[in-house]
Amino acid sequence: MKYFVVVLLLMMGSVALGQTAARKAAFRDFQAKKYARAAEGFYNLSRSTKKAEERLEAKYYLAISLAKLDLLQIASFPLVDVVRSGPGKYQKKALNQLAVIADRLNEPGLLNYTLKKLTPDELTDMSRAIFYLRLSEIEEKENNFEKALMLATQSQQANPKSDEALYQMASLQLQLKAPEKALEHFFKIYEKHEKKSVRDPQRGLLILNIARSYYQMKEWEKSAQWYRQIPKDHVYYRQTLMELSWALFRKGRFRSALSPLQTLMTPYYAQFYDPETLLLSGVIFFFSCQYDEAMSVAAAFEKNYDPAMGQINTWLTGSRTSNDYWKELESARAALKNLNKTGKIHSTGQLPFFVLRTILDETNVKMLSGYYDKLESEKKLLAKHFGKNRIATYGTKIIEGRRKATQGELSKRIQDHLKSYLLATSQFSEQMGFLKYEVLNGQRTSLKGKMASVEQNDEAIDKDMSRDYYIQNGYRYWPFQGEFWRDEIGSYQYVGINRCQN
Amino acid sequence: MKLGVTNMLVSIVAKINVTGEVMTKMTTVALITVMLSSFAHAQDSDVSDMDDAPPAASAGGKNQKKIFVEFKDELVDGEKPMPSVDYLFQKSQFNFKKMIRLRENFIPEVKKGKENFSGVR
Repeated sequence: MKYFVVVLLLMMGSVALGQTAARKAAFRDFQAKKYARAAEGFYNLSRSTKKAEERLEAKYYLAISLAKLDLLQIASFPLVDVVRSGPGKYQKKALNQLAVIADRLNEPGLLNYTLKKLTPDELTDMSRAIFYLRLSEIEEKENNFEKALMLATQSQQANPKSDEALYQMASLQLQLKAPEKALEHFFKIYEKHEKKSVRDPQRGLLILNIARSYYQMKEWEKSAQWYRQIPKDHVYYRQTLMELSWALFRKGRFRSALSPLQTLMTPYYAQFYDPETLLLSGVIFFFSCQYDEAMSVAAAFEKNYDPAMGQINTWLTGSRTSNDYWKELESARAALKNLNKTGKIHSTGQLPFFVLRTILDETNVKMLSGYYDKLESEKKLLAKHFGKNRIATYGTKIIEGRRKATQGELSKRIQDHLKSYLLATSQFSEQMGFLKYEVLNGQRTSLKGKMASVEQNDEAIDKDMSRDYYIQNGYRYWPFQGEFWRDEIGSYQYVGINRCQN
Repeated sequence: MKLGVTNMLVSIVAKINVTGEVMTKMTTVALITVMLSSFAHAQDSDVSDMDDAPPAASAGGKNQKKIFVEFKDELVDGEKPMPSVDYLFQKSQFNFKKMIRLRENFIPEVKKGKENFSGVR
């Protein structure tokens, strides 16, 4: 019996000594920046130790080691475990780390979970900035713009380097109808990004927002000048053309406004959901008394959008699972890849391709797709660092769970976009109906004038126009007949004339 | 100077008479008077407008200053001022407001763009 007790004590002592040694080894690896080995050590320790405090410590450092390896999604799970274990030395630390990881992952669910459990005093400056920003977004959703602005300002004060907080302040100023102040904020961010490549998405977006602020200030000319700074190969160029057209239209420069629209109506850009472009060009044609052109735009609208909206309506009224949406998304992605490669559209999906590809371009879908891709790359990274050991199994399980959840969320977002597109199209369709009515009225008045022998020119609008000016200046002229070359995109000039009699 | 111009005008009138135009003596005198006075006035006002020198000094013929007008650094804005499209919407004969909702801002697009800056600190 005595021997048994002694052996038991010795065994317990050696286990304790072994655990202490394992802990020391894990910390040694952590300090030596051997994070993969450290993670393995902390993982084993978190499973073997009987001491609650030591387990929490092991889980916390396991998360930090994984985060250092850029395995952010997997790192968030042991941190959530530490937070759930209740108050203690590591809970606040874990919450602060979670806030930062959630922000880097762009995972609002995780971020909200974290921030709900913290008060501003418990936060680091970085986390405090995120905390105030999220509160500002909540107030913004409830249309409390003043309060939202105050919180965004607090966020910016907590982290003066934060572009997101400044952006939020600018966006709120626009909503508070103070575009001059918004302009100041956008200029501040732009100064930081000005020297980036002209194709940089953030730089381009800031230029667009400066133009948009001038637009809201009704400074049409300045707005157009800023819009024109977006290069043709920029990701926001398509969006720019439509907004530039609006600015020129509001300035009363109808012909200039039709030039960017002409680019948007080429087959290169026609494969996007953009009913506003068609409506705007129809209205400008109407204002220029070019009734036939306005009617052809209305016909194009009906031809493209009526059947597509019918398809969407049928899809939405049917019973669809998130898997059905996922299949449609995959099919659209494949078709888009093929289009970029071969220039040909081959879509096997049930939803119209031009609608789905536009949804794929929507920011919230693009961000979530980006998150999904991050999960894929995290899976590869996991295999690279841990092969097939216990952490790899643990991490794969987490990633698979996240992938399924992300697929569900993406499906929901696509469904929401489809619904909003359907609603917007029906509103545009109604406006197009009014336009057709006014065009018919205009045609009637024009015919009356003709019958009263008022001089009328019914021939093609550019039939007798001399092109000498262009030719003398080294240009060549071809009438626009719908054909296009990729290097011509964005260079079309509308040369029609105003046909109004008075 | 004025005397020289008078002689010139008299000779012009004489030439007109020679070509067969019938002109009374009274009409001739009146025409000469009107032309002479307007010429003298134009000469005075041109000089005083273009140069600050007194008329007597600049009317001296050879000593008259040359005037150069430099456009090198001037921006010539050839834009034709036009009313904005809002003017058209004030007309009542069309149903414009129903036909098209004028874009007053691009706030939804600005809000969408914010996600491009999230997580970037």
